[in-house]
Amino acid sequence: MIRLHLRARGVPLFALGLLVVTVLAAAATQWLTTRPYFDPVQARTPVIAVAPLLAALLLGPTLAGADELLERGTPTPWQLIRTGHLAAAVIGIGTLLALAGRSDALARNTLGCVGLVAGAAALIGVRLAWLPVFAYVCAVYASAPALDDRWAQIWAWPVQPSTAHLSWWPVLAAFTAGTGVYILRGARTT
Amino acid sequence: MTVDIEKIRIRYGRRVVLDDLDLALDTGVHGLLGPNGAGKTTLMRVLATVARPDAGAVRLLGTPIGDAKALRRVRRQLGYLPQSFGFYPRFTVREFVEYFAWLKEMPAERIPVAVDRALERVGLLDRADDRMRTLSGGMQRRAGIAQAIVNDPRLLLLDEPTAGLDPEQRVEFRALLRELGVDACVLVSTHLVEDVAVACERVSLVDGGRLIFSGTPEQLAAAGGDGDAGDSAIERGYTAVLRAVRA
Repeated sequence: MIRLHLRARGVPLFALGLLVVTVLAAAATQWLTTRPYFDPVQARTPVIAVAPLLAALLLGPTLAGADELLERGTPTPWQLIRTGHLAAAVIGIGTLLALAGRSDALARNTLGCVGLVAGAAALIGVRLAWLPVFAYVCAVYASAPALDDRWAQIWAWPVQPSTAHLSWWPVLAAFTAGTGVYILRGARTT
Repeated sequence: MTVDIEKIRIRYGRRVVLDDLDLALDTGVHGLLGPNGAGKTTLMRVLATVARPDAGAVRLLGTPIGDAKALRRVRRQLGYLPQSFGFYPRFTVREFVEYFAWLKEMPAERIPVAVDRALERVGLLDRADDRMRTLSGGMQRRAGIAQAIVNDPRLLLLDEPTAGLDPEQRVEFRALLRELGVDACVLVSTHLVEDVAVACERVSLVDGGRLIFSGTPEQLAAAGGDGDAGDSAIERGYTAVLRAVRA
């Protein structure tokens, strides 16, 4: 029956998409880090910013069933199921993306993007849950602040190196708030 | 009482959807009538425990649905078919009903027999292995009814269950309702007053979020006169009660 639940959530499609993202991330990492004209430290930044974003976008549709109201009227302990779903997703995304090249910044961005998608699913529903995180990461990446000031470390966390300690705080806040509200309330129903 | 709600109130923004509504129902088939926007679907959602009232008390199956433990106990004995429901297009009909049997925490060994029985009762056993997306609208509705009854609920809530059913299926469905109503409290929200006249023992009429009539279909029919709009006695009673309240 767990198999039915995973299918109801579209998990097989998510897993397949995650594999594709991992392969693309590994290929991009390999290509970028072997270009002589790129700074080897900065070369992986696109992968570190984009791969967790894509993984989180794939996660969005799995955060609700085809009929949330119908499912919520059942005795299943949904808060526990949601907690397990997010935990498995974070571990799955983190582990697979690590195969493309281990990085603390990749882990940080995974937490941040998952938190934003989960929070958006709870507040605006899964159909549009991809939009805020996509817009935010694209905006940050497009403006690509080379600045190393404290504020840039906070608001531009997706493109900061993991050694930028302040970049972890907004991520932890987004992860805690986003996953917390999703676990408590579930995805918003229409 | 299977359903005992007192003075429940729900607001959506400034709009009061349910306004100090009282309702008490016991075993049997009950009809819930009312015009569009009367609050029927919201009331069904409250009874299905998916919407919480802003005020008032809700007791289902003799249990106040306050804490999570009580809620879980009540939900095991609930069946709910929303007005429109999302389904999993790749699931077969059997898988769809099995999935809800599992979500309703039925013992695993009982599920296969219960699913077959539910599908047989709605006349879908021969389509059990077809994918949901290949079914007609009426068949999808019947699959929805099957998931609602798979756990033999003591409280069954059906919101517009006959929408999309052809006349023959509606006749069969009314027979199923009467069968289910022997052991369970069945509440059917519908616009089709003739379904209520034929299948229900009692009828409640809501308008503007308030209960404005509660009685037997015969009593509702008797409320109407020759001058009231409607093609049948119960339709004339329905329009007469609404007109009297709005006057």
